[in-house]
Order: sequence, then C-alpha cells, then structure tokens
Amino acid sequence: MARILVVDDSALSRKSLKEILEHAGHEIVGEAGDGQDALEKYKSLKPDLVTMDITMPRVSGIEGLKSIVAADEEARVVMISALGQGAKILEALQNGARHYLTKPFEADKVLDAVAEVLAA
Amino acid sequence: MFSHFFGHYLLENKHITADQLREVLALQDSVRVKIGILAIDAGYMTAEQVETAHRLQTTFDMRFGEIAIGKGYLTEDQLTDLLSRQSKRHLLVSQALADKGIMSFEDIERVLAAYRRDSGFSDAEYEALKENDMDAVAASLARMPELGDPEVYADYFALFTRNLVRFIEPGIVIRRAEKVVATPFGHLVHQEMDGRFKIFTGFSGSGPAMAEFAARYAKMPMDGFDDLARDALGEFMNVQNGLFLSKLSNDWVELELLPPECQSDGIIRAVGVAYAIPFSLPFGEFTFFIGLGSPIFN
Repeated sequence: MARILVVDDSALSRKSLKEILEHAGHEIVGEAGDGQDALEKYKSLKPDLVTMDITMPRVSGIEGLKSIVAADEEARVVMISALGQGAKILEALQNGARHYLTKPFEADKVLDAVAEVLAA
Repeated sequence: MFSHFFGHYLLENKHITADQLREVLALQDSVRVKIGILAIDAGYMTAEQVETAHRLQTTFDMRFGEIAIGKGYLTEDQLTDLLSRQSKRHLLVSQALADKGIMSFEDIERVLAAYRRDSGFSDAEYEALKENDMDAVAASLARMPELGDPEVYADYFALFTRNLVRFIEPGIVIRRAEKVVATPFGHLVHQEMDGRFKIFTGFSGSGPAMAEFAARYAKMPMDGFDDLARDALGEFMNVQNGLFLSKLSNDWVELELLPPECQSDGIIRAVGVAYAIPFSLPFGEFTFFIGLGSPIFN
C-alpha cells in the first residue's frame, strides 16, 4: 500500500479521494491546496504518489507538477481534471504526469490508475 | 415541470396561497415517479442498473433512457412504454387543485387559459411544457440574441437545467432571460472558461438556498453557506462546465477551465454582453448568469 499526497483546492474533492484511497488501504500522508503547497509537502513528506488537481487558484496543478518533477524526476504524479480539459491533460502528460483521472471520481478508476502507476 | 411553472403562476397572481401550492405539489409529487423507478417497478431494470445509469449521467450528458438502451438495460419498446406511463402528468396539478377543493373545474379552466396567454409560450412551446420537454422550454426562455452564437449559449443553459434535474431538484421554474446591466446578488458561485474567447457563467442565491443546493449536490448536510458548501457548488460548476467543454471540444474548440470562485453581497456588471435567467427551486430563488468576457463586481 502506498503513502499518498492529495492536492486539490476543494476540501470536498480531497475528502472524496481520501475516502476512496484509505478504504483501499492506502495512507494519506498529507493534503495540499495549490501547486506551491504541494511542492513543499512533497519535499518534506516524500510520498510514493501524488494526486494533483489541474485547476487550482494561485499556483496551478501544471505548475505544481513541473516543480515536483524538477525536484524529483522519479516523482509519480496522477493528474485530476474536470471533463473537457484534453489540452491541459496532454500538457500534464508531456511534463511528466504518469496518469490522469477526471472528476467526478469513480472509485474503480481511481484505484486502477493508482495501482498502474505504482506498478510501473 | 408543467405543475411547477403553472403553480408558480397561480401563486404570483394570488390565485392560491403558498401553503396551498406546497400542498398541491406535495400531492402530485407523491405520484411523481422517475423513469428509473418505473423501470424497476416494471421489472425492466435492476436497482443496480438504475444506480449505474444515474452515475454515468455525471460524466455523459445523456438522458437516462439513452444510457439504459446503450448499456443494454432497456429495449426501445420498453423505454417507449415507460415514457407513455409518464405522459399526461401535466394534468396532475389540476387534479390536485380540484381534489383539495382549492379551485373549481371552471376556475381551473379559466386560469389555465390565462396562464397560457400570459406565459407568452407559442403553441409548440406550451406543448413542450406539457410533455416535460425541458430542453425545448429552456431554449425558448433562454433567448440571448446579443451573445455571439445564441444557440451555443441556449444549449449551455439547457445543459444547466438538465443537471439541475439530475443532481438537485426536478421542480424548476424558469423565467425569461434578461440582459445584465447591474444585478445585485446575495451569494454567487462563478467560473470562467478561457481560450479563443472567454465565457463567464455562474448562479446566485441567498445563503440558505445556496447551502441547500450544495447539500443536495454533495449528498451531505451543510452547516450553512460555509467553505464546504462553496466547494460543493464549485464542483457542480466543474461538472457543468466540463460536460459543456467536452461537447465544445468535439467542434475543435478548446477552452481552459479556471478555478470556480465565490462572491458575496455584491452587484454584477457585464463588461461585454451578459444575460441573467432567474429560476426557482422549491427551496429558494436563484439567478443564472452567462456572458462574454469577465464581469465586474462592486
């Protein structure tokens, strides 16, 4: 089971992801509300995996992804986006994201994506 | 849908009291049955299949029946049968008014004729209202001619009303679109979509009404219009706009979704062209906004 950092500006989305991941036995080691906060928590918590919302105020998920990958090129980041954000998902994958999920979450898809990234 | 539109008219014109309207709607709500329940009742679908179809409606803008047929849960003939069971529902409100002794048949006939005249609906639109064709009614009320591509924006509003029915409450009453000059709001949740052009959308309401909206969307109780409620309303906007942008990207238009935001106790002014569409749900009054560019708040 993995140690996971959940990054989303919405407490409701963080709660929903936490419930899905913890129910499957993963440990949520920290939560962050924007890309800057995510980088700081990534450095101090050293999680196995990060779920990163794309659309966040202040420092976006794409910026957060870039800074985490710059700090650790082995970082495993799963991007989260609303529907209809194909261009942003592509940009994230080009910048080192390992997988992506769309909101609203489906538990099976979340756990499949996490398992796939951890196994790679 | 007809009963809510007509009921609202009866209330506004003081033909009945708010208590009587609640009583009438409760009576007809007690027999209002959605397709999913009808399908289970008829033995056409299992509860699990109905749940799956409902869940898929959060990621695909499709009617329940379309999904059920696509997944092989229902045949075309079974869907036609279920829809026919739902028809004539517009008569329920009249029946409830008569059964409760609130109005005589003569009164009902007279007021229905007055409603038809005052509503300004064409024959086709009035039929659409009676048939619960929300898309046709929303398109008729959401005429926004000064926006660059009015059909796109009317489609956006039709999607918004479908999402209200799916996730929040089917008893919607919509009023006609009006241009925004300076419209005050209590609490507003809004989101911009940016790219080749910029679209602004959102909706406003009182604190208790927005909190109830959030509670219904998140399926959890809310302690008023707090951060959790704001998050839930932001997620509703993400789903609404994500579904809209998915359709738009099929036409090779890619817009970036900016984070949803909340404002309280202000006035919204359009920089470009913007429209407001007031709508009512049983738990409060709301105003939907859509426009080009970014609005100004003060």
